[in-house]
Amino acid sequence: MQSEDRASDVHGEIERLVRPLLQAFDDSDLTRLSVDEEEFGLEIVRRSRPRRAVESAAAAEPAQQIPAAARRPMDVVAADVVGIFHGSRPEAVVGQQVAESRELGYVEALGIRNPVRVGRAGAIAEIFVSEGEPVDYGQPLFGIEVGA
Amino acid sequence: MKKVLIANRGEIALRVNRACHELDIPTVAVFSEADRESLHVKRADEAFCVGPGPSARSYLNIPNIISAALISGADAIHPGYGFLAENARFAEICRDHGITFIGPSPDAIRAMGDKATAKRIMVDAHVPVTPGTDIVESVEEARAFAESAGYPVLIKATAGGGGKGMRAVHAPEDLEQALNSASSEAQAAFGDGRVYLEKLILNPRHIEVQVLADAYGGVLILGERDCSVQKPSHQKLIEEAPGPHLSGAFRSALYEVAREAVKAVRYVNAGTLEFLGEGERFYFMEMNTRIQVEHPVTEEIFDIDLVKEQLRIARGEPLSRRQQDLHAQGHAIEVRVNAEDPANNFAPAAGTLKTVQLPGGPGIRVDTHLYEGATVPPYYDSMLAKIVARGADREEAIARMVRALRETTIEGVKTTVPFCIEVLTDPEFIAGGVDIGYLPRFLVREARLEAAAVR
Repeated sequence: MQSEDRASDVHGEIERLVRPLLQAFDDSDLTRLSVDEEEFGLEIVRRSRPRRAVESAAAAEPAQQIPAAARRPMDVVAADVVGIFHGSRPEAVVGQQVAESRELGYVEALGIRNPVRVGRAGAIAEIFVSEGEPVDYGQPLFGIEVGA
Repeated sequence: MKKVLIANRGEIALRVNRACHELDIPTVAVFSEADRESLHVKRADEAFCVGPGPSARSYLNIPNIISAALISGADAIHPGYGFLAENARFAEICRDHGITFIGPSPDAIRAMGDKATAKRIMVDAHVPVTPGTDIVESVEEARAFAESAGYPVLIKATAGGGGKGMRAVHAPEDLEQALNSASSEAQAAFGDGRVYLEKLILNPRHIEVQVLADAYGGVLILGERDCSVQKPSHQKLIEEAPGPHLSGAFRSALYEVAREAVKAVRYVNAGTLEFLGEGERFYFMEMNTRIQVEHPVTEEIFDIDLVKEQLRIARGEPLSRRQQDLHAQGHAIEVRVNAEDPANNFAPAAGTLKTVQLPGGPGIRVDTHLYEGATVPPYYDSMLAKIVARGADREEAIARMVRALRETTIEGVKTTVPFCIEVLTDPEFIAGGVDIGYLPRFLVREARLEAAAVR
């Protein structure tokens, strides 16, 4: 019993030491970290690219210090009802500047036209929907590059 | 019927999907954002997201569901159970849009959904209901009823709800005071102090009758189910068919009454009449105007597909079977596998399922939407699976169920599986014919044993 207790104590101790190190490593852009102490040694090596970089490229609102070439944040205008999409005339095009609350079309459901409006002003970056297409709840319709 | 939209989720959505596909009818699933990866979405021919996780904004979102039916070309909607299944307004909206609601008429749903109306219709049809009074004007009137019906009696507020203005009276000397306090409580809570009395049936059995009726007056009585094993919240946990230890006279009277009730309501499609059973007597409680969770035990002993019958009836066909050709064979039991912790007052759990090993072998049927890695969202009913065991007799059905539950491994959330094994191996359950007080008593007994073991 006693040796088992001691073993679990040692395990607990190592876990207590390693867990914050792993966390700090994970949060960093480091690819290698080594600790060499009298009673304790550890080396962590990252094989993949630092996670943060991958995440920030995909994130909707990346951190400040991203390269100038990286994308500006994109808002997705999604359908909030199930129905048939009809675009406004003239048809929206990629690159077009749109003001806040600008109507880009409507989703017709049960005879009611539910307007599709831009949230924040910007440029149309993506058009995910085509004229007369059935859409469901949450379906992306337009991507807006905010502030572009 | 060219295409059916299934306005539900989980195992019942899959159950309906299976019936449609067997009849060569394409299906449309609806789902919430929390159910995007659900099996019912993958198995349907088309699927529409109708809202976010909370059911009020998705599975109860009538405009989005109707719109999904219209744009997909579905000409019928199966509501399953729960959600919109007993919503008369929804059935009307379907009709107004030229969509067949697979279930009874809005009028039948409405009539049975209102307790007072349902009771009046049943009394007129000579269906026994719990004996009771109209509004009582005096203590003498209340006393006269209690003497004739026998104590205990229950005082209920006519405006009542949530137990307010309700009193159980076990002895004549308590009647007057209970009457006064119930009335003043009701007056304070609802501004209406009027009360009535009902005979209180302590710990009855829950016996229900499955019926099918077509649009041409054809009625099938598909025997009874015993659903007396209920959690303290009165939710069913274990159901079986036929009901154990019921006399021939009880059964024939029950079936005859059920047939009269169906005719009185001019009911069409599948339905269930629920009764309280006490000895050789039974009293009408309510009618459920939909397919029920526990329908498989009836399917197993009658070798009938109730959901396919619902679809056939809805498309105007007469019943496919005749009463004289229907004979129950053997015994079937269903266990509800819920994501709940029985040790913690059946608190529901949500999470991701790490391991899912479901039972099989002779006599076992599993209706479930589970798969390994599936998530159990926090928004909905906690039922994960229904395990049904069939046997030549009750003993074999129980043995198969216990074996099947021991084969079952679900990791990631706590389930009712281990608890149900304890119940199914309890001598009182094995003896059969327990009442609705059985499970709460079982829980108290187990808690005492545990406390004794700790000491």
